[in-house]
Amino acid sequence: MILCPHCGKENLPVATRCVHCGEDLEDLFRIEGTDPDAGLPEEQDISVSDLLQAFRQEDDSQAEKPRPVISIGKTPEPAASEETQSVTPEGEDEQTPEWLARIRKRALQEEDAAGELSRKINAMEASRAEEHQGRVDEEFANWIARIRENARRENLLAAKPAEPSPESEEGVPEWLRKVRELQPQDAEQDQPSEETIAGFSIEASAQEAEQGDEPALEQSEPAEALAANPQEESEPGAVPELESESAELVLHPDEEASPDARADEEPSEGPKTPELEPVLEELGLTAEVGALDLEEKPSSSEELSADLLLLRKQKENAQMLMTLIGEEGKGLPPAKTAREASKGWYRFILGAFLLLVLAAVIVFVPEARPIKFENPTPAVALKDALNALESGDTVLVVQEYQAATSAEMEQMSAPVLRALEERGVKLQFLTTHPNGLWLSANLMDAADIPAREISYLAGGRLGVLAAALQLDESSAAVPGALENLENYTLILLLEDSQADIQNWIEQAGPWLKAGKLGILASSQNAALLLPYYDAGQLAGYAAGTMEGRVLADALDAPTAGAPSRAYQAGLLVMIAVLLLGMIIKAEADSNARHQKEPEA
Amino acid sequence: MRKTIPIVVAALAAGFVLAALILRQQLGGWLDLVLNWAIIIASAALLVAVAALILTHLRHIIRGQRGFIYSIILISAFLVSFVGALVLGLDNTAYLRWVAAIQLPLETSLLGLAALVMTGAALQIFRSRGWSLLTISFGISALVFLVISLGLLQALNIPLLTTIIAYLQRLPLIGARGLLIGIGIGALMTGLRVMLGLEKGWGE
Repeated sequence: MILCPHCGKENLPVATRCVHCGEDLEDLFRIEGTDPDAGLPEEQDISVSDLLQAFRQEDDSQAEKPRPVISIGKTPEPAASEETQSVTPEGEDEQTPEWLARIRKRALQEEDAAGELSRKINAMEASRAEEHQGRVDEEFANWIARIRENARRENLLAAKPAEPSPESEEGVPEWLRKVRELQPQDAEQDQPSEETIAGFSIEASAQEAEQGDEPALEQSEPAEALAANPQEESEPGAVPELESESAELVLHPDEEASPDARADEEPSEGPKTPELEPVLEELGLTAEVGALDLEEKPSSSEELSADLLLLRKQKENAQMLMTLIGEEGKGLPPAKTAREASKGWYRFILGAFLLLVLAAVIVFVPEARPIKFENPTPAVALKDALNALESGDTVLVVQEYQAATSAEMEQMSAPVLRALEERGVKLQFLTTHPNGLWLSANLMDAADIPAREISYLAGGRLGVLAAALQLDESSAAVPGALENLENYTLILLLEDSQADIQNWIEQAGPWLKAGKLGILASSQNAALLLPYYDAGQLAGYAAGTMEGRVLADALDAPTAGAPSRAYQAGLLVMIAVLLLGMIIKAEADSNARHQKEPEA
Repeated sequence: MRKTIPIVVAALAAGFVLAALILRQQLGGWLDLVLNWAIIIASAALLVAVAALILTHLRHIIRGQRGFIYSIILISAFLVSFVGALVLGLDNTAYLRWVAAIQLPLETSLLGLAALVMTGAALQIFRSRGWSLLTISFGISALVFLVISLGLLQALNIPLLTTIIAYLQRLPLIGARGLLIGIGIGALMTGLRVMLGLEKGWGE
């Protein structure tokens, strides 16, 4: 009786499976009264075919040299096979275990002892093959699939370095499993090829073994490549398995050449060599296995690239799907369409409000007329200089502004000129710009003073210097009507340009007495005039319509308000636009924050 | 030689004018003569510039280049103004008003466009440059001085507010003084470089 290693219950010695638990019984060939492990190295795996081979050896066989061993995937190892040990003649009797000696003795006594045993073994093998063939086929297919995937991954890494992907416990990369899951058709198409590989080689190797050592070695190179490639970069768990199985594919040409040995093998396994029997027995493969498609190569780089592209796309889709899943159940964020709609209304209301305010200011609000507004010191000084003029004094009015600023300049200077004209002050007009020639008529009309000739001083800065020096009365550069600048009581400059102001202050000022230059300028020049006033180079100045208006009031020459209202309207527009720019920017920042918050 | 003569002429003229300004009694007559030469040469240079402008636009018209219509308008306006001044004279009131009727809308429109461009720039500066010290200070200062320029706050006649406004209006003086100092130093250095022959802005 034998004990089931799984459940521990007794079974018949001939039972191949435990009658209690159904577990396969490994101790099938145990012989009563013998120690199954006696005389055998623990590391060696003795198969049935080995036993048969040992039985057939004659006691007085001649000593044989150790046959060369050719292993697939490994270099020949002299003592790697059991056969080499079994055929070693020298000292065999001493090393023969006791159980083997008994068997041999019994075989001598009984004619067909070995035949009965062989038939039993064949029957048992057939029964076991039927039970385990499917499972072993599946395992072998998986093993071959891992080899193929490792080879493909190696080519993939060689073609284009990819990011290291996590691997499953089976050694299959994560990305490859995803590809397989996403491409079931391809996986199905790959399956036959895998089966073909599963059926490899054992038969092909056997056939090549019949042709000799070298052809077998040559044909076994693809198998070596299959085994060696994953050995380099594949998982540690897969490589030893491959090595162990490759090492068992050992061919013995001497035995192939022996017709006796072939004749002994034919009844049991047909064309298979006895050396392959252990492998076949372990794998559960029989003669129906197909030939290996040795021409099958790893996928090309283009195919791999296509897989990669698909993988990226699928990753993006997966990421999107994960995002959607992550947002599932959460409350919907504020509808963007609603925000955009409210934003449009918000802008419309804001713009309309600004326009309404602007229109209201222009139409309904009375003009800002400060009652007790006091001009700054330079404007007061200019007022004092103008008030100091008496009848008969001569004032040189230098008109040097452009047409674009003529409205502002006329609004400021017209009341002053009118007041001086009414006071009996002689006004003489001069210009250094051609514009002054045709703008003077408008100024005189605005000031309501009689039209008079305006002199043109050519040469710009040089002309001003020449007019200031005026050493020669017959100078061609200085107009004839222009007297020596020292003869004028006041030189009133109507300026909108800092450069022109500097020309007069810097070229003519040094040659004139202090307090000869007074300026009516546009508002943007106010800041640049103050230093000259503080330095005593100016009698005074007024800049801008506001100061001009106060000055006119001080001279009892009120001004018209229309240009001032337009000026204020323009300022209001600029203020509104500036505020709108700030609001738009703040709104854009707010929208950006709202868009980032859901992502976070 | 080609570069040396202008340098020598410029240096001599600058040195002579500087000396004449100092020795006004002795060199006053010669200074007036030199100034007249300079003014005549500047006027001739202006005529040369006008001639070059006309020739350039004539080439545009002859070659039919893109925008030659504007060249036709420019030359036509120039000829009308030139011939009108020759025939009627610069003292003719009708002529002066006619030129002013053209010049005033043109320049006013140009200034209005400049104001719109600046306003648009003020609108875009926050969007393009974001919130920074520069943009924030620009926005605040622009708003403050625009409001002050309106005159509405001054019309309220509040003493404290008037004082604050007066204080704020004097703030730009800091920048103005810096500008004037820079302009003065730059002009002085340029004059010295011309006198020493280091400034070679002509002919290159």
